[in-house]
Amino acid sequence: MSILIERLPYVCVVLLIVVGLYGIVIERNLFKKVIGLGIFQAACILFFIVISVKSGSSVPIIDPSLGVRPELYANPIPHGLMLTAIVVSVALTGVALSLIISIYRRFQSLDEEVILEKSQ
Amino acid sequence: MLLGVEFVFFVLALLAAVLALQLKDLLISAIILAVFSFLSALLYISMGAVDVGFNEAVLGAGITGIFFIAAIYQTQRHALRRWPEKKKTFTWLSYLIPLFLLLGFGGILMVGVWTIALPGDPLAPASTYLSPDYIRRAYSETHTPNVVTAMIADFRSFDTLGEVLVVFTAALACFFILGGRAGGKLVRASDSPIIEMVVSLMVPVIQIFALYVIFHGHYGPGGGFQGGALLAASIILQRIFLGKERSERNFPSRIALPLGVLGIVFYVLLGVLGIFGGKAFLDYAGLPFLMDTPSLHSMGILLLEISVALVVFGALVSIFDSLASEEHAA
Repeated sequence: MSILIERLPYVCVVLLIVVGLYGIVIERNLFKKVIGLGIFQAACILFFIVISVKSGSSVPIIDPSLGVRPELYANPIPHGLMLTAIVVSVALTGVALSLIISIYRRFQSLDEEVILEKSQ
Repeated sequence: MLLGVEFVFFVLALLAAVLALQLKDLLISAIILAVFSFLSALLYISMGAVDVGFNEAVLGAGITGIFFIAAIYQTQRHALRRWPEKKKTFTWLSYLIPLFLLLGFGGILMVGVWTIALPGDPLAPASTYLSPDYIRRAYSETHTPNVVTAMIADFRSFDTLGEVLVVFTAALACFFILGGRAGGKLVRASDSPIIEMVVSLMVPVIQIFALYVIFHGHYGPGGGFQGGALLAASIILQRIFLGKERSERNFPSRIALPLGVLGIVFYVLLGVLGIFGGKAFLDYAGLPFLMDTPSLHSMGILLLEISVALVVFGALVSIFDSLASEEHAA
């Protein structure tokens, strides 16, 4: 049980990943799938943020009065990576929503099963 | 850090995520997703990732939310009932197998996180390989206290070039799928004069704040991505509440994508100026200004953030215009 408390941030990340994957795989509505994708992306970003925290550290903005000792500041490299990830996630969501609108105009439905039947 | 305010944010975010997937009303689902994004942003900020949290709040909660709303206005607001009309024999079994696979995947991830370094460990491999070097060098080489900005705009600026190209390509893809000019129910002018007046006052304030965020990215959380997205949000706000005629006069749809191209051209030009100065591509020491090297790096970072903001601005407004555009008679 104490191991669970120690690694609680990671367990939280895994929970969110599973919720996101549930949305993508099991939900039938197309919009819900894209919502699940957004949740999955937020969970992956959370994982990188969790591994960049150091105990006792602060935000990665150098305070000249404190100096540049690395253990004072959170790890900035995953932060930079996640900035890119968020912007790419927005772009991806935009394209996914365009495709959903296009599919709706063609099949008049947002439900995966109905669209699969109509396209046979 | 384990059971403090971060845990409260996480529990609320998890509840919002589950709720967004369960609701039948898609518009409310989209709004709950925006709430989830905002709670995630608060979670990131409380863990020290202020730049990432700012980005998630603007782009995840704001821009993605309005993209969803625009798409739902174009399709339908309510999802079907969960079970199909005619019950097939194997329906519940077809849900059981994916659920089993999902739990199996979750189990594998749990085994994975059991063996990596503990959260908060300053000697974890992620925190000892390159980041102490970046933290030590950032201020002395670039005069930029925000290490994340120094990293994405100077040490790793080539990756940022790839990223703005990705955003622009997505805007092009949306344009080719759906067309360009916003029209239809979402961008009708509001009937209420109160809304019109308040929005007309808000838009310039948002834009000035966006410019502040771009220029202040050196010293605090902020930078080109957040500022560009805020500028796009101000234009989208205009489109929705002041109507498409008035908003088209202020910012026509046809200049959004060319503005993105202009940003990319500035970016590459900045890199090529480094070559003309006798150094490498995107090496700010070759810029033709008369300053000492750390100030040259600082100026280069600022010019790069401005071009990134232009690209993100043009691309996001263009994606919104495509999502809100009316169907052409084929």
